[in-house]
Amino acid sequence: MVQLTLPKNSTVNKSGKTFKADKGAKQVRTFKVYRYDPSTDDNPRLDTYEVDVSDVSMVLDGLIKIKDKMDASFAFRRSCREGVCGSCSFNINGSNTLACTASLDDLGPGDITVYPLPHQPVLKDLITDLSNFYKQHAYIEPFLMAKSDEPETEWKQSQEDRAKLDGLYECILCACCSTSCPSYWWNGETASGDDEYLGPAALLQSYRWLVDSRDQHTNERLDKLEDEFKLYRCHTIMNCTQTCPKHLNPAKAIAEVKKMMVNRPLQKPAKAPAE
Amino acid sequence: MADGAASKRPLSPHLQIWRFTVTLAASITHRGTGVVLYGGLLLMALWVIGLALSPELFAAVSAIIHSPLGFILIVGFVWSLLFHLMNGLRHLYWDYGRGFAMKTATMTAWLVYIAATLATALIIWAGYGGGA
Amino acid sequence: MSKKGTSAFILQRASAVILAPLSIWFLFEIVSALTADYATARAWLSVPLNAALLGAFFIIGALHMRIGLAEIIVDYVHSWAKDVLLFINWLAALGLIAAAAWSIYTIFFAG
Repeated sequence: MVQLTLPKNSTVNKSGKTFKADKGAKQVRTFKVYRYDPSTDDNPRLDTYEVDVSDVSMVLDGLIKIKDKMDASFAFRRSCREGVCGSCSFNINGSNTLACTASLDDLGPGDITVYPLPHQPVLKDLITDLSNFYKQHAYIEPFLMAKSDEPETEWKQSQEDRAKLDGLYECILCACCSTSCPSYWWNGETASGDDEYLGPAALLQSYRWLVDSRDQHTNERLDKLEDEFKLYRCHTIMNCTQTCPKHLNPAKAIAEVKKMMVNRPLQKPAKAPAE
Repeated sequence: MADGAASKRPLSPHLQIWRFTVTLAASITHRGTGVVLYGGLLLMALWVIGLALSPELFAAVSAIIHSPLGFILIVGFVWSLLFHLMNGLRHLYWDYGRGFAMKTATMTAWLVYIAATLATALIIWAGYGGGA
Repeated sequence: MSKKGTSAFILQRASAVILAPLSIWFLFEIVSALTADYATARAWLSVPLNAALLGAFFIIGALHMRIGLAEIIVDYVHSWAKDVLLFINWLAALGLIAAAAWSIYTIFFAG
């Protein structure tokens, strides 16, 4: 049976350390942040930081301020701080998003809780091990595959065909969608590596190449998705679309892949000659 | 990270921290009502078998149906069938490739809950002779 | 399992499309039928349309619910118990079809 609760070593100690704001702080907001130190045997804990947010607009700015001014041991991934690199994806106030594009004002009043992306192995604090997520992305072969000879200039594409990639190519692989999906929680990773659900991000990427007019491996790509797990563990729960910080629609992309699967035998020319 | 630390790595919280949405609730309810209907259809089979075999067996099944428990079972079965039917249409529309805008999906989820409840009230009222 | 995923997906949707109108008929009839006395209930099921539609509802419903519960089992059960549960699920569906078909047939031809 799938384990719906957390393993013993993973339950979160809610009373971690508390870091008070300076006396002169103008505008204080409370950040509750998931912490895990792999160098100890302690369980993860929730630390509380009272941050002066008078010069802070985004959640990421707040986290950087915590690390710079309050607690240098705090670890998290970040890079571009403008929503294009996909590094600072966390679970913020119960939903996955990029810390750099989540403004404190939009979160409303109250505490700001920051956890790592859900149901992933934690390396340290907010840093999760995404190896399996990347392996699944590699599985869908995210590159152009042709059968005809390479053209002398470039692979040409009409404007209409190019428009089909809108809403797909913008994905930054932040893993917000896949780690929001209960199906991915229960079936995203198995010990054997078999019978795995690929998850919304990999499947959206898969559709990005399936629908590309220049790609000629459509049938082979669909063959690689044909079993009970890789594609069909999607039950249109819609968490992926709800959580995507780039406002893409992985659920719709997956539905389009399913449609291609269903319509495939009708389009495929019969190999054996009819008697 | 090396030296076998992988097995000791904690798993980040999931169900424990996820903020519920009506779309997620509708998905779980679809599953739950499906299971209720599975059981309901098996109980329905008992009723048909009783009807086929003997008046005595039918009387026993009928006694349960007319008890307060039977009323709860019937209301639960009717609501489940209506919810599963309406949310199933939502799923078919999705499988057709439509209705994926988050606003639309949220609105249709609320709509299914409300419509299933109203229609259940109507069917139970009419079924127990309220209209007669 | 070359085509297992897609074939189950199609069968689930196809049975749903047939069940939708059947369910509406079922909902109109079911409460009064279930709460009726023996003679009334048998008379109801002796009407050819009622017998045919209830039979269809049971048979297609059993196919639909078998796929649905199999999805749930595949989602949540990853141990050896999975194959056992999937087998029981098959038996339940076949048993349901057999019991319902026999009962409706018996009542219908008994008049």
